[in-house]
Amino acid sequence: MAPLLRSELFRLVRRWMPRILLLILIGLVGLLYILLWVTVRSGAADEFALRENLRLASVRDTGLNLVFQIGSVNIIIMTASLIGSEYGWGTIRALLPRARSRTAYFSAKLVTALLFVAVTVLIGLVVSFAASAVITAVEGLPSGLGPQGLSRTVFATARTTFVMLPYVALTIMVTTLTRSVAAGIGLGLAVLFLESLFLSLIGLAGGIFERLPGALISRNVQALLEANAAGLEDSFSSSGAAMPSVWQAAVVLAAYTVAFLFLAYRSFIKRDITAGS
Amino acid sequence: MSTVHGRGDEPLLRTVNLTKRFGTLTAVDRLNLELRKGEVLGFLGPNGSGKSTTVGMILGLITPTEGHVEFAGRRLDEQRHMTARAIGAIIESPAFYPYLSGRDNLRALAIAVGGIPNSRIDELLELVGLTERAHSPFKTYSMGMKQRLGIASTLLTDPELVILDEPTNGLDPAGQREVRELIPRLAQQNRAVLLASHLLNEVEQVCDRVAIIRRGKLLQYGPVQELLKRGAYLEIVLEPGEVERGAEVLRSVPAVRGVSILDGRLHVDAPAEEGATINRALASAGIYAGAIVPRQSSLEQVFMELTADQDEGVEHGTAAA
Repeated sequence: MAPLLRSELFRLVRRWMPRILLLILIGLVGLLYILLWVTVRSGAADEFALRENLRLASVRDTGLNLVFQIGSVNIIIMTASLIGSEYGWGTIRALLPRARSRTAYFSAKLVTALLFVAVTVLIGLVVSFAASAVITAVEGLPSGLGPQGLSRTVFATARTTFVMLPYVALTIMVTTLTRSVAAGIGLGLAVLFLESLFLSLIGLAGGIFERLPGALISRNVQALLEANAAGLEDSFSSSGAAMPSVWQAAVVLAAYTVAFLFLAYRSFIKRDITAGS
Repeated sequence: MSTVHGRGDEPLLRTVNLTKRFGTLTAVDRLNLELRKGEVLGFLGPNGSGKSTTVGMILGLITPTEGHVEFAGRRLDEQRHMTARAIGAIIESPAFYPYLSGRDNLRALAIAVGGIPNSRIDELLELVGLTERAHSPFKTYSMGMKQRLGIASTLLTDPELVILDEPTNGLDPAGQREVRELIPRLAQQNRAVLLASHLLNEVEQVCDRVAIIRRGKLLQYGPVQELLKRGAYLEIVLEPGEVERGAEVLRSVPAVRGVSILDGRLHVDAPAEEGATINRALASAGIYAGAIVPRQSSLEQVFMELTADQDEGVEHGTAAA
């Protein structure tokens, strides 16, 4: 798999798309921090809550929440392109015969997507830290980022990376099954944005449907993101809804990730790569 | 050259009852082909005849429904990892990453295979005449340049088997000639070349043997010259007033399989060595031939006859290997 992975990375760093997506992430995270800051200064919002959310210690909550919201979109777009463009350009027919096996090819794609997730979260984290550091310094806020805060930030970063995985896996599955970048992006974004809306409607139905949100993706993602705020006086990510436990959420999201990847792998291993595909 | 192995004179590539069905459609039907090192095999067939499906199965892109492909005596599906370097192919049209330069496209493939130095890439770019445009993005290439890059990519690993699908498509006449000259050279370097092409003249010039398929079935398979002999005929020049009578006379000669009149001349379907018998038959009827000339059909004529829309009744895999 190593040569294929090197080839994937060689191509990835030469594409404009990942650079543009990362620039958008940097720009939007920075911009949102500035907007929150401006809101605080204008007195148009609960000043205590906003100041609490903007200081360095809250990067693990505010910053990583923004990184999740923006980064997930980027990751869905990048993953779909990473898998689907090979079909669109026909390059899969040139590359696959060079691969030692289809498993190696699939693994190289998966690892590349995961590396992009890691890079997205890390860059988002660095930008959040930078923006928060400026605000903390200018406003003279206490950073509140001791050794325990740093340790919690590391775990929060890992959790934020983890909650993106079901969306990566879903996008890989849809793009592999349909061989279409558009379908991968479309369904990935639809689940990312519309699932929570769907949950609200289902929740209104009551009865047995009340338990359904706990079995879907977004509620469990929310549970893990809210856990990032542990130890903070105010939570940016809190929705106020009853959440599953952290472990339950982790197991559900892991199960989705594994199931999506298994279906994608099985389909890819058996598939005939014809001219039309 | 990257060598998988090779035992004596055994075929480098062999398809054994290779079959692919897509639902009710049989795209390839019990195809038996052999290809040895040093040989160029022309692979001909109308659109949708199963050529690309066959190539796809050889490359492991398509799983056969029945049968298998052997490479150097071993089943290809059991040693796919070993043949990644041993087979170089372009299928249908050259496919590359549009945002990468020609050079980086080759580099990306080279990295995927591993162990290919940059000097090899430069050497191939030189071979196909793309050195000056090596750093231009692939999306800015003309069709001819794309084809050249495709040919370079097939040779990246110095493979034992080269599969070329319409390699001169989009090339100017000079480029076409270069590729036609390159193909036999590849075979002379102890490689086997499978050439799928619609340009029958091209196949006739560069191939040692030809396989013609239609609707997935092998119609003809053998040396080009043997195939052309099948379409050989005698052209007989007679006095204008004697052409019809001459045709009548020859239809009764046992060695003659058929007679037709084209442009005032007789086209007699008979072996060239029967020229004397035919001349005697005409002379005994008081008709004296101005000339009896053995003619050979072009591959195009043979191809058109074989692939004409009729039920040929030719069994697959009957021709000699």
